[in-house]
Amino acid sequence: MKTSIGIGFRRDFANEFLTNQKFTPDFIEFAPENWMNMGGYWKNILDQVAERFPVTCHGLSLSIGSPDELDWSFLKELKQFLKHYQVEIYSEHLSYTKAANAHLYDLLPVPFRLDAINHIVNRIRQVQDYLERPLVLENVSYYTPVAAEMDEITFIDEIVNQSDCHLLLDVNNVYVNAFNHGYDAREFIRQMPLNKVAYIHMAGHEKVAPDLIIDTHGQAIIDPVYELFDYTLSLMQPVPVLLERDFNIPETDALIMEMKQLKTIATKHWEVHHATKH
Amino acid sequence: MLLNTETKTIQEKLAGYCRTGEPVEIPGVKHDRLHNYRRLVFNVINSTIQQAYPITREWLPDEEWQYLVNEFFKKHDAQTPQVWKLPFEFYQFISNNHYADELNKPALNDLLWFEWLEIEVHTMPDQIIPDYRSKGNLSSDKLVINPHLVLTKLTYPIHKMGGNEAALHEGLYFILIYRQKDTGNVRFMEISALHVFVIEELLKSPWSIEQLLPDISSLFGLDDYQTLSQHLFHFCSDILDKQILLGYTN
Repeated sequence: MKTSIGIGFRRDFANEFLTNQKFTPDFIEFAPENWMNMGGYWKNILDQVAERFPVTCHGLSLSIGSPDELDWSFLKELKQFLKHYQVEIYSEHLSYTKAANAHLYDLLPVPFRLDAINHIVNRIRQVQDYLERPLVLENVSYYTPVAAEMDEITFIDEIVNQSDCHLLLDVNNVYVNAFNHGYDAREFIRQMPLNKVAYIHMAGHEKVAPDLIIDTHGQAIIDPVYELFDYTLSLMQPVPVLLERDFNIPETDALIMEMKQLKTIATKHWEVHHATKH
Repeated sequence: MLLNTETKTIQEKLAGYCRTGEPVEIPGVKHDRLHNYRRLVFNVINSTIQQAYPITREWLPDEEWQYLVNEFFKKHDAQTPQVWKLPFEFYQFISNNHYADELNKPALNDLLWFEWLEIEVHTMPDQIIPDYRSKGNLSSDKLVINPHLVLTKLTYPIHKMGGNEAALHEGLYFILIYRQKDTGNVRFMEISALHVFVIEELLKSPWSIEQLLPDISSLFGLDDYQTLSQHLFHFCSDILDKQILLGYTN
């Protein structure tokens, strides 16, 4: 299988996708919430980009871990949107963004508890049934445990196995969490249900205190995260890999270099290795 | 629900802390890190609203702006799952809760409304545009209007002067905000009540100027058909140039 390296489609550098001949990601990813129900200039741009590149969607507001009810009118619009753009993979976050009838538009950590697992598994099944596709959930970065009764890996593993959803493995988030909470990132990766990974996210982060990293997507990927990525790929079958860059957007050449570096590592494991085997 | 009341309460406490900043007791939480969640959530809300209302942001002193955003963040339950639509809820919250009176900024609601309408028109879903010809007779042919527009009325002329000065010119101002077909850019123009009638009629169905004349004459008490016809001709010619009228049909 050919290694596939994509990048998040952002308005800040939207024209690069259409005009820069050197900028050729294998696929793109965007948040459906930022584009649904929209016409005019930006829909026109999105249509052109979606015509040119395969599309995956990475949602923000499903709030699968929320104590509030699922938003069925949102899901209805989402389903139509995913169908319209022939979206291959729809992913979301294993977190919550809504509580007490109010959206917060950022990813809050769900308590690692058995009742939360049961609640989330039930919701994942409902969403999967409705959307008629597997839900792909990302392991999120978090900055403090919240009323945890088990460890993170147990929480993730149980949800993935019970719900039969897929996993979006965010390698940077594993690095961030391992640093923030003092565990071994490689050991964590080894324990993840790697056979359920649908694709991988890679991103940069920001160290805001000697003992705290925030997952900003506003910096280049650092070497230790590349090393963790390299290690992760040695344990896995090929899946698509996506570079996330949401803020502090650099020159496009810098993004191209990052994608090239990801491809070099992926090729080392997934093309050379498989070619040797056969 | 499979979620225990205790877990639900913990989740709501964390969300509530993010909105209010008021201390909460949650088992296992590292209090020296909790503030990062409030900061991250607030930054999303603040930057979204600030980007939607650049003129309002520039007009208001920092402390008034921060006060309004904090009030909104704390007291308003955001309903839209699409954060780019949140500024509309901000407008509704500010206007429904009379902050313009509290801050003694009479033109505040109009300015927020106007800035939101620019976004609304820029992003409104694409409408089906009927077939039209680009050449025709402006007086006798039926006219096809660009459906990507909104009409609104303002009490203060914030579309042509700053908020403080606009407050001195209370009146009734009709504004047409439209999206250009070729570029997707949003433009606006001030129009009269008579023009509002013309636009509203054309939005219902294509009409020619000649067909519209009797109703306009009767409604506005204008008997001089020739002058009225010339006036409408000039108006329609102008809005044809601006791509508010797209062309002609039979």
